[in-house]
Amino acid sequence: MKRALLSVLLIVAMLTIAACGGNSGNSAGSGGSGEAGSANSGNIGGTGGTGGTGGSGGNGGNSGEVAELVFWDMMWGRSDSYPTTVQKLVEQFNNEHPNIHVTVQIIPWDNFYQQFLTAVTSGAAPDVSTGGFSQSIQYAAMDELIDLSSIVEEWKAEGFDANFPEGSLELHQYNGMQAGIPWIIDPRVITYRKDVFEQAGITELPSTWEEFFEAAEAIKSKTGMTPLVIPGDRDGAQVFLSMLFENGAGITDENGNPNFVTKGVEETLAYVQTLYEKGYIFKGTASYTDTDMDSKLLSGEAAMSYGALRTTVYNSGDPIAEHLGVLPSLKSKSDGTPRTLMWINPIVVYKQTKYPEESKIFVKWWVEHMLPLFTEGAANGYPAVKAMLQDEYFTREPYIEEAIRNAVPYGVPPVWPAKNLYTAWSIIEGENYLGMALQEVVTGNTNLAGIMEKYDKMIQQAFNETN
Amino acid sequence: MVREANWRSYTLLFVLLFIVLLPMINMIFTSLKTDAELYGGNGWFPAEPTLDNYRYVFRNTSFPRNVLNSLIISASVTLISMIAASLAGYALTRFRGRVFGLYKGFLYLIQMIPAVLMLMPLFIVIRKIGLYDHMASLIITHTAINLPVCIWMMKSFYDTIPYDIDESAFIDGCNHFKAFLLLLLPMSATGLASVGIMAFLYSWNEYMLASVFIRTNSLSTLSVGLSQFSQQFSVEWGAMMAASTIATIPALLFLVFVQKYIVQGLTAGAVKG
Amino acid sequence: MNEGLMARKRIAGYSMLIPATVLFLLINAFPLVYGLVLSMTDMNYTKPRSGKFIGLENFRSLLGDSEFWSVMGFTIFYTVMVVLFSYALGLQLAVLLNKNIKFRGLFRAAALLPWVIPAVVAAENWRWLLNDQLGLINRTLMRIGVIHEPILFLADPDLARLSVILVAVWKSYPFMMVVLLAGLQSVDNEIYEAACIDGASRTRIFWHITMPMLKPISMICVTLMALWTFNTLSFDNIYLLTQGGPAGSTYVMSIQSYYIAIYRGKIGYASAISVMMMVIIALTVLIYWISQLAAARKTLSRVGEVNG
Repeated sequence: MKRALLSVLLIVAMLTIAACGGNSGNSAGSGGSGEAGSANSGNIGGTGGTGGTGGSGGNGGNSGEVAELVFWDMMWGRSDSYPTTVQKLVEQFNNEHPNIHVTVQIIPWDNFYQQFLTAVTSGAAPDVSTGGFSQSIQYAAMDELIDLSSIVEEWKAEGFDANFPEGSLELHQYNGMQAGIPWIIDPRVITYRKDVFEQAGITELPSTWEEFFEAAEAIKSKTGMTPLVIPGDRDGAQVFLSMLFENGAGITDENGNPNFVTKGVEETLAYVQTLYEKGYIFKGTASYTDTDMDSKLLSGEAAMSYGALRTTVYNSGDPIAEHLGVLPSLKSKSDGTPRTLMWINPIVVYKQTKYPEESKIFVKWWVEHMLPLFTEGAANGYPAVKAMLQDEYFTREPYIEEAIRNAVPYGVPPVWPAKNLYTAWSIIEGENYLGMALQEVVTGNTNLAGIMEKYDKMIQQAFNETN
Repeated sequence: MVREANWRSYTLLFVLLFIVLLPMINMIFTSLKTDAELYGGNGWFPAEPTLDNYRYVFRNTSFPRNVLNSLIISASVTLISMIAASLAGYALTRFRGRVFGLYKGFLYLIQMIPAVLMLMPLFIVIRKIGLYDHMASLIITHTAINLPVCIWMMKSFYDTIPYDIDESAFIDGCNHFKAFLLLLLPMSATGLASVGIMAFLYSWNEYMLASVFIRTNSLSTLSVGLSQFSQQFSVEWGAMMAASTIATIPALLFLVFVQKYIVQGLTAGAVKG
Repeated sequence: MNEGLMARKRIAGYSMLIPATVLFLLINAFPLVYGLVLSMTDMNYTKPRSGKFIGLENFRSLLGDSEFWSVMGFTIFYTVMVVLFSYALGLQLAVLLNKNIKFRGLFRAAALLPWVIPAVVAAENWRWLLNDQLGLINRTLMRIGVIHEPILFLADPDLARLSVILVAVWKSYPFMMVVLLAGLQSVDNEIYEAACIDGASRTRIFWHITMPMLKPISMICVTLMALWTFNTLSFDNIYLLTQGGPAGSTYVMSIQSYYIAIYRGKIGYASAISVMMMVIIALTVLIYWISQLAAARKTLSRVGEVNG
């Protein structure tokens, strides 16, 4: 009995702590974000309504009444800073627009694809959302998004549209309609340790694959460190894609037709194979995640890493962070063009919304005022609005400033050289074809032509299925 | 003789337990490390243990709320499961007939449905009955999915109780219900404990349905709440491990308390059943 | 007992089934039927006007797809291995924890911990332990000189298969342990004492007394665990650990079904895979029953012979 009593006491203690912790300190982050505007704070009985989706009383668009919007934003930054910043920004919007009321819900990245799919296909879509890169095309193809061209037109009149990276607006167009507005960009960068380069006697930064091999060899022989660490999971697919771009190759041709069996692809596979066989990347790459990449760079086992710019990981004042820099994006041959992969994610409005005009007003305002999401919310990436990049937040660390200077100008979207997103992308990315191809090379499969054909077949099939 | 514990037993036990508990130890150590140590450090032990991550999880995130939600949902699932399973288990033991026989087969069939298949149709059902984004959606789905096993357990438990006991109640003038309520239910504390822990643990850890049925952050369960520490391409490790440690504690307490009963409960049940 | 009394009694029984039945009809029955129907259509989320009834076409293409067969093969292999090793580990721990050890309750609770940990936490922690450079296992083995190069637990396709099995065993053995512990506790001490007096060794006692007594309860937990592993645990554990990689080596049927449904929107085809999973289970159960019947018949006929 004593044991039971003790356990009960402990449980009660925990509940008390949980209740207190939940109410103080973060009513903005959690308590507020879901409850305003939806009548379901923990009610066990069903009310028969569909709390949490767009629209309330079912009266669409009456001018006299408040438009209720539900906005699903992804967890773009740290769990302590981002949700509160979003909440604050949404409240600011609500204050400035008394006839529109937006409720925001933060969606975690784990499983987001499924959450959106389930919600949209059963009529529970939000009004507005951010999301994955292909959110715009995927749901436009299912005829679930509305056309946002009017926003772009307004911006053209204001001259604001010049802010967006070249081709980014076109990227998110589907069958002539503007399916999404680009708002956050996230390039892949090669982070390197300046002190290690010095130690290895590298005076000029490599700019081609040949020069990269030379630098790697110097690092290996003079310092014993593994020159480069890359992830081998889904994030590895992005690195491989970025390398394809460095070589001027891609998954498709300029018209968006699958074209994977090319010399460019084969050369890139051979490039990775050389990195693997010469020990320029780790033998265990196939199982590495971003965390492995971070820890190997920061613990001094690797000299360079290739991936997203890990600003939330590289704390300022960390001894290694002081020496970090970002290489200018590579080109494979000296007569090529440097390129790197850059995500350009959209914000979209769903057709299921009861307030399309108000949703568009929100989207336009959101993109114009989104700077705090980065400066206070620590969102991972950069705003797609060039003017905002001038903010001193983006020069607070040398390597961040270098990333903007050395990578962003060379960034191209994942579907390059195609100009528009294609629906097959969801399959290619979701089923991780490029990641698997990379894994085959870094687990010792030397039949490069075979690998290329195997994944070309899968890519072709993906395209067939989505037409 | 067989039950004696000698040094060999102790050694083997300790070795096995150590191996088995490695991930947990790793989890706790990680939760005590600072960020710098997490990424730069090579050691397994936290060189400068800190409670920062715990403070962070309690003060700056909605995770404690998620734990509370999970407690509410899991406790409700446990309660409903115990009631429904004991009723059904009793019925399946004491009554003969084609319906009852078919029912047993039906239970078998339901158990065979892969979780993946159930997701979308369940979502449609939940929306139709208006429980989307309510905790009740998880309470009824978790209960229903777990129920066949619970019914099995209660049935085999009741199988061991001889019919004489029921009959003695009938002689005294009770009908089936009264006999069940007043006599058999109290006797089945141990069986109920087994059902309780199966139901509780299933609901506590469930992720797929929880992530899809509940959207509001303040209503989410802890398994979904853990995912808030993952950003698109990075994870807040210290915080996530601290949160996981916190999430493990109630379940562990429950286990310590109930483990004695499960063993007894299962003994009475399945062996002779 | 007359008919009326029987009928009245039955009604009491039926009514006791009501709470459970309501839940089943609401929650379990609909997906079952829905899934069965879907598996015979070409429904595709990305093609709004799909959903035609195509009969067994999905199944025909499924059975003709060589990748399906290899995935199915691994799923079955995975299930068998997980059940086998979780049983062995659970049995060993149950035997140990059945003895009169001090603080037995605490050890039991500790041994049950893997059951309690959320799958995502377990997967992440195991991934750290198995990491080739920084993981504890590799570092320790290298430090004591057993190996010279790190073991690529999750990077090598074959080793990855073993690793996912390992983690699944770790998560599954507590259930086996608890059930077997219960079974062990129900064995009368007197039987053991009698055997000791007769001079039987520990091993003999174990294999000839303990194991047979554990048979019924073992059947139950093995069946349940096989079912669970095949259906749900294969998804949770593997998806979180390797997502089916590297290079698709740890693909199981539930993950394949998931990918096809989620990323390609081919919910009809994905449902067909799930239905195939149910068919495999049903076939296994059928084969088992038939073998039991055959064995029983043989025993009966032999008895008949003896009794003349």
